[in-house]
Amino acid sequence: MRGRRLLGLATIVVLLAAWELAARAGGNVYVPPPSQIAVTFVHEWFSPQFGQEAVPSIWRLLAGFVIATIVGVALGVAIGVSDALYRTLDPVLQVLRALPPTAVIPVGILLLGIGDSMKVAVIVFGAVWPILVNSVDGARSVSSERLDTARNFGFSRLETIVAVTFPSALPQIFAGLRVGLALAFIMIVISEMVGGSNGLGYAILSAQRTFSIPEMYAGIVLLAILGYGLNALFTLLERRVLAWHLGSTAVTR
Amino acid sequence: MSAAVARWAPPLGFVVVLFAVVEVLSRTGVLPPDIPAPSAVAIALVRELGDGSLTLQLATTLGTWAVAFAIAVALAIVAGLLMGTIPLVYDAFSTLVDLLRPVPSVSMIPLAILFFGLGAEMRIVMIVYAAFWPMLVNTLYGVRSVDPVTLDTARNFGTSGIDTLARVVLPAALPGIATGIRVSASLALAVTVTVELVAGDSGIGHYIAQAEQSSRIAPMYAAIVLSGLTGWLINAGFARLEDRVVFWSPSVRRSAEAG
Amino acid sequence: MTNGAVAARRDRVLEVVDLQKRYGAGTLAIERISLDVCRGEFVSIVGPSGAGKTTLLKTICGLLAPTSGRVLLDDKLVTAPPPEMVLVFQDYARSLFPWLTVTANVAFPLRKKRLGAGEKASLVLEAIDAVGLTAFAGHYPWQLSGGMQQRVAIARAVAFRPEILLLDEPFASVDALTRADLEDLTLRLRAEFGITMLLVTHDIDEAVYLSDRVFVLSPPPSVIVREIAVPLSQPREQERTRSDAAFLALRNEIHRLIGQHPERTPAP
Repeated sequence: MRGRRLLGLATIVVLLAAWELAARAGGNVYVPPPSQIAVTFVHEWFSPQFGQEAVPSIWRLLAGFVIATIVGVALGVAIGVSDALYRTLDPVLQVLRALPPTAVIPVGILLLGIGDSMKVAVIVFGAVWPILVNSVDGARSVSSERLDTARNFGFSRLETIVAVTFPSALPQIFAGLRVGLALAFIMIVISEMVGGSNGLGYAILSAQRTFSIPEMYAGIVLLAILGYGLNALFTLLERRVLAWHLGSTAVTR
Repeated sequence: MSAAVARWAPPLGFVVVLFAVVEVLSRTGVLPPDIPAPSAVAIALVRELGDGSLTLQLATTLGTWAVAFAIAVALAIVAGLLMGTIPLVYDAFSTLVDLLRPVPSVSMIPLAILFFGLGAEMRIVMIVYAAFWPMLVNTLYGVRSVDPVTLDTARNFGTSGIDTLARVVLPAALPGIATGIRVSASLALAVTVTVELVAGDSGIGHYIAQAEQSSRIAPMYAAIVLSGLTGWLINAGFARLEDRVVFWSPSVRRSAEAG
Repeated sequence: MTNGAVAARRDRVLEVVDLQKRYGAGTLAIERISLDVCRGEFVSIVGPSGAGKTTLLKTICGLLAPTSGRVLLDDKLVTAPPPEMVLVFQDYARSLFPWLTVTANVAFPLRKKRLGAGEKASLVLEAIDAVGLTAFAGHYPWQLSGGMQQRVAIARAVAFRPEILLLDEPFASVDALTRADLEDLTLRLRAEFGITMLLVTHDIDEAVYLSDRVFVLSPPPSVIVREIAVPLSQPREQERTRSDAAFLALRNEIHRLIGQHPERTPAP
């Protein structure tokens, strides 16, 4: 097990070393050596610039994702527990989910300008569909025995939804949230590239346009770290909330 | 026939009512002019498709999408088979995959522009990069789900390596591959439109951005509707293909998506 | 009708009158069933697979509405699930909540009872203790064996303190030894808590072993073929009771009754 991990890490070290050597030997300005990118990264991002460019991106992303989660789960469970709503809205949801989400960014700019509200709004629009659709599916796949159990003990419809349907649907809701988080990332980067005056997407694109090559790489590295870090945090939360689900599926396998 | 009516009447009814409400609100000036009447969007859609301006952009987008998607699928299947069947390759690269996969692919756009400019090459590279990851992960999932007993049986009968790959591993990995194809196809289209939007000189994404900048509101909405319908058709088509491929195990799709 | 008169004298708690159940406009699951259950009694309904037994229980406890006929609990018409009746499902894996521990699963229905926290806690402890799972109170259901999971489901029902426990093939998914254990556990709980039991099963031996009275069901659309009293001595004991000549005679009679009524009409 440890040997395997070491081999995996060795691959990364070897690739970085090869990059470093090739960059130093080749002298292509578009490919700075990793060591230079690392120095630039520290210089650029361990500075007030982090507050000016990265913090706005992060808070827009989180705000949009949280709103998309609340809206998507609430609407999704509501649609999932009602046959009439499901039959009416599911085909519409399927079309909206298939819409390339960044296509609505120009609409956002048109209606809301290029400020924070546009960015948060388009993140919500981009992230909400997978969350919504998965919540619908999760709410619909609750076993009838569980619903009957709650009804048998005198739980009202609403109490049953809160105490039985919602927790039953959680594994699928989390699958939707994971996709939603990835889409939220795409939306924040693109909306800042297309209509922004600050933020990480804006920063890396303007670095490229002004040929500040190491700065562009450093920005991409920061975005990569944020993407990886948020995904890891999400996995941690998922393991916590869904410990029962992971345990029970491991048993039946 | 009546089953089809029962199925499609409620959603169509909903859409008709919704459009009628927006139509009235838009025509009476309650909504801002940036939200046009659905009829104006429909007329724009027919007109722009008819005179070829939008049709050409759609063709460009689909062409870029098809080329890039095919490359991504081919690369990812080869990589997935290598990683899935040779433990040393898996151990060497799985950490790298885990590290790169959660990185938002669109953050690479400036890098791609730097190396490839603003043309079709840059777009294709970006789309391949983005679509490669879900394809790889699902192929790996499929290959690694091959029953070791089946593999041992094949080995016992003296089946050669290539034969085993073609007759045992590939068929068993097919459900995973089919799921990967569906997920990557949708993602590839989304990234195609995205790259056109940010840094393109053609395609639907470029058309949408241009229409917005020149305040051609109805055509902009028409192009968005068209891209939504295209995405829906692509997704529905590949979902049908997937259902056909994995008809023996309907649970594969769900578990692969959840996992 | 004389049976009804006798039952009335013995304090009838549940009465099912001319119950009919049709699914939508289509299949007739239950043609016409009348039966009664007395307080403290153990009654079984035995019938072939697909005889609409689950449908019957769900209709009796108010989860399904009858097409015609009525269900009376203490002479009151049942229109919605009353708190006096609790149903234990065959499939414990589907009826238990995997995100709750054993204790939380058992406590789940008590959210609906207006009791103090201390009272609720003692009801839960008592029920878990009664099914012998005190050592596993902090476990999750999926960490337990099938038999233990069904004990959790039974404890959850007992903690609610129902008048009647409705058991839907509760031992059909466990192995034979566990099954005998659960049967005796059910008899013990009945004695300890004075709960009336109504069991549906396709297992003739189980029905005879547990019951005071057995109703034999026909294939669908179901009717009651015969009502049979089980005058075996109490308390029942697995080996002794099952080798009793009277036990064998009863089970053979029921076998014959069910054999005489093969599939009447294939369900449409």
